[in-house]
Amino acid sequence: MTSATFSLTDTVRRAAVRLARPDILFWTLPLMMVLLVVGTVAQKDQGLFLAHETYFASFIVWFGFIPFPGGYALMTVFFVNLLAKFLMFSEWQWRKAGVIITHFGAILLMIGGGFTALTQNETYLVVAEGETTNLTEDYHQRQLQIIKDDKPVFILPHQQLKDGMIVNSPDLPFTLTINKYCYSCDISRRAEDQQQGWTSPGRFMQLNTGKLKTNDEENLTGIEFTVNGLKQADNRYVTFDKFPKPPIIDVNGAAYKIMIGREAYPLPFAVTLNKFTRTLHPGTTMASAFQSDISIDDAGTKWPASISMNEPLRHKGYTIYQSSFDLSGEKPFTVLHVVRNRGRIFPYASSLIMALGLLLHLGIRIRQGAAI
Amino acid sequence: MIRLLLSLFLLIVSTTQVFAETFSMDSFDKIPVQHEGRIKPLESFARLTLKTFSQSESLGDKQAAAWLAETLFDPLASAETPVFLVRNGNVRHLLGLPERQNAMYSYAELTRGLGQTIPEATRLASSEGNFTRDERDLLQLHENALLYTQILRTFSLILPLNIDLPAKWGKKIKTPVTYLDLRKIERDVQDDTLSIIKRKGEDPLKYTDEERKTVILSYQMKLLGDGAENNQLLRLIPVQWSQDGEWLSPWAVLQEGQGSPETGKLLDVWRKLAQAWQTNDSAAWDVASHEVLNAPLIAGSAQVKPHLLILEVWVNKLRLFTLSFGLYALSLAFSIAFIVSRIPLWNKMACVVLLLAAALHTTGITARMVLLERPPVSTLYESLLFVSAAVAWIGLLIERFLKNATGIGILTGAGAGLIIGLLAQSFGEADTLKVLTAVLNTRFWLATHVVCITLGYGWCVAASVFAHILLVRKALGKKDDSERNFTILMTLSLVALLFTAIGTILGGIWADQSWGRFWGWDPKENGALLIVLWLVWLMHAKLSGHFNQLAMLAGHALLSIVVAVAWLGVNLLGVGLHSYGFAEGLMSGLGLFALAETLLVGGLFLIARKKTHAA
Repeated sequence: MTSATFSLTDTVRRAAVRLARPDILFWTLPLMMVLLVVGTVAQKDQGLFLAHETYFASFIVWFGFIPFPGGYALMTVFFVNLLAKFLMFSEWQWRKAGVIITHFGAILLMIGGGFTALTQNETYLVVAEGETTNLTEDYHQRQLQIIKDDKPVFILPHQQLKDGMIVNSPDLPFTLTINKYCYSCDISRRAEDQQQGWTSPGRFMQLNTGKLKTNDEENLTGIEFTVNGLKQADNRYVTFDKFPKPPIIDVNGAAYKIMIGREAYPLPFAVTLNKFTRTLHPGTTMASAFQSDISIDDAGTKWPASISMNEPLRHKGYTIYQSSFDLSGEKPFTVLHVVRNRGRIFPYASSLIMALGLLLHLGIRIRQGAAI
Repeated sequence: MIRLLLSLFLLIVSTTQVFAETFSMDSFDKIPVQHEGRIKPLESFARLTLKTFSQSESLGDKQAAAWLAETLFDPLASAETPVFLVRNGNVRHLLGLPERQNAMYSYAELTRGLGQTIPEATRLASSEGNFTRDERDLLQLHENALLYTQILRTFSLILPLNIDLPAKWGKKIKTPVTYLDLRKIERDVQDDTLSIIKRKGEDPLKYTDEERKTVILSYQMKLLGDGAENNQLLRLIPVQWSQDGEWLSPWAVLQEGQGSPETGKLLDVWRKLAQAWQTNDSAAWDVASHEVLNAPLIAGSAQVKPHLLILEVWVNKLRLFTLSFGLYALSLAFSIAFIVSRIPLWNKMACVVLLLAAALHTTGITARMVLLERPPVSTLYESLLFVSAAVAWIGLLIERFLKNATGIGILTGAGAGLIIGLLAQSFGEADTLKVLTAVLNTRFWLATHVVCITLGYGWCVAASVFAHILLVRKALGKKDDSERNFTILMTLSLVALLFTAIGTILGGIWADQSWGRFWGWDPKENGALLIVLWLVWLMHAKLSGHFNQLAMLAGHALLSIVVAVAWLGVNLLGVGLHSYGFAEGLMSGLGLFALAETLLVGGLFLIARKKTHAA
């Protein structure tokens, strides 16, 4: 019994010794630096979103056929190494107090980063002056949405859309055949001899697979599809992201709107834009400030608030930032960036701890006049 | 078309030979103008426009402000003055310019060639994409010429015109006649012209002398008015009840109907000033320029802060930065003299000169902060300026910690200060005092995150230069004090880590506060992280025994490449929030620098290792 416990502790200890080896750090850091440089340079061609997915939010990166550890893999190794070292081999002396505190701060930062990566939700909200909404949309996640009387009855994420697939559901009186799907579409004019069987505007608009845009939000996701299983002859349609007039299929008096949209997240409160203001540096066209004057309506309680550059609004765990605007139309639109991050506090706490640790270490060092 | 109109305008305006050197520019310098979103003295405007044209802030003996006055008040003479530097030989050839040593050409010389290349320039201006060097230079010259014509015409409404008035109006209007005077009869002239054309058709040969004069006058007035359309460059006139604080150019006041008794008075004073210039009356000039400065509309404007205008003119004239960079060079020379000769006096002098340089440099940065009313760093140029001052102070600090006056601290400070300072000079655009876009317009974060990370760069640069020096000493086989020096290097490294780590984290907090994410893998964020990781790596590699002292020296020397990549390199990508500075040719320069550094540090490392083994 005792010997078994001993051997277990022994195994754990031996494992910890291995995990805490300084060699791991010595080799992990250069790999991280290489990944950091490559992933940053890649942003020029791939755009931030894709480069981030490829290099940083991944476990393996392939350079041709050569595998390279991705950001998640390296950070996990780094974290385990740091944690093992911290728990098992910290030198608990005053001389090392700064080092211990700094390492603790770094551990906390990593935990917070991991937590944020898993739970953070970033969306945006578009609202015109004088209008109210509680709907926010995901920046990236497109989906096929079929809407009956303003209620979604069918939703399919874009990752599952494929050329030739058949979409059916007990909630739908028809089936769809996806003839063409493109994540990034270009629109061209359909040749005249091929317009037979299409419903306008699909008769004139043809979707073609286009080049992937570096800014993911600009990718125009769309489908060409056939509606089958109705009494009338099958007909073909086109719909795409942000299309103002998506096709509507009328079945026995019920209207089914078929659209490509972004995944929606309703807020637990509503936002009304009262006024959007852009201030320019005098005599130039360069903006010095943007501001949205809004009111929040939370379960009947209403109050005004304003959001400007660097001055977000925080409510119920949501933080709402001024992100963009559109003054080209009749009414001004504001675009607000909405973030829900439960790990917000981690970087604040950990950076304070790390700063204190480093300062303490520096102070102790200078007093002792010693090397690190 | 624009240029065609201009040459005609030059025919209309009258001129007198003036010797500007006799004029005092004291008051004229300080006259406020709203330019690029900021109220600045005319002296600043003159410098930066002249620099845009000629790459220099003065024309030989002629100060920028005197050149501006001539351009405003005596367009004809100015158009004959060579102010355009055309370095590109192909462009010179294309425009049919004669070859000369300084490659400076006057506007009059350029007009013909520019006129012929307008279709080409219009095509280039509307196309995007990569220009060849020739195309870019040609387009730039066209843009400069356009800018110049705008200055030239700023006051064409109050300058005396060389116009032959029909007798009918000759008595009504006193000479010398200006556009502003002619406006009183504009309606009548137009009516008359219409009736003449109606009666006699469009062939001027059928007109009487008087009729011909009337038609020509009408045409000339239209020419002046049209030529000044959209001329918003020199916003010299405060608009009294303007809500957004926008000032207007003299022509805009007229064309937008913003005139008031006050603007009228101010224009009258400007007219006096123009007259004084044209009649070469320096006493009247002094009075009139003083009067402009004290006009109720200007002196009463809340936007005008006289002490700031004075300060800015002083800052321009003193050229504190150029001066301090010169002193860094001098200090470096003394420092090298000390290291070669070991005569303590040299080191003392180097130290004093460095102290003086750093003080002047810091004064200059402080003055900029006062002028722009914001923390010291928000552009690439400002970061270079700030870091060069920081490393000079760090060098002095090292010297103090070394105690036994080895001169290495001074060498570090003067050397690094000079290198970064020269970089700053080469990165400085014509206008280095600029307003900021909304996203950067936040004093708190500029004062904390940006200052912190930039100081971090400074400590890194100091550590790197210091490591270079120690490495050279090792390679030369010197052994004195190496332990103490190494300890100082490690302290520098730790301080650098402290500043870059905290600066990076503060940046994250700013991002969280402003955009809702702490970390977004933005190139600049990644750059800062790269420095942190490099320093952490070196530090732990020493602890774990992977690196010995010599490898640590080399690692810290190579910090220069890491910093260059993080600081300047990320701007090359042109993506992300921080791509605030871009300079062509930087990429190859950076590559070359990295290669040279690797070879240098690698070489020194190998030599030093051989020496150590031998010993």
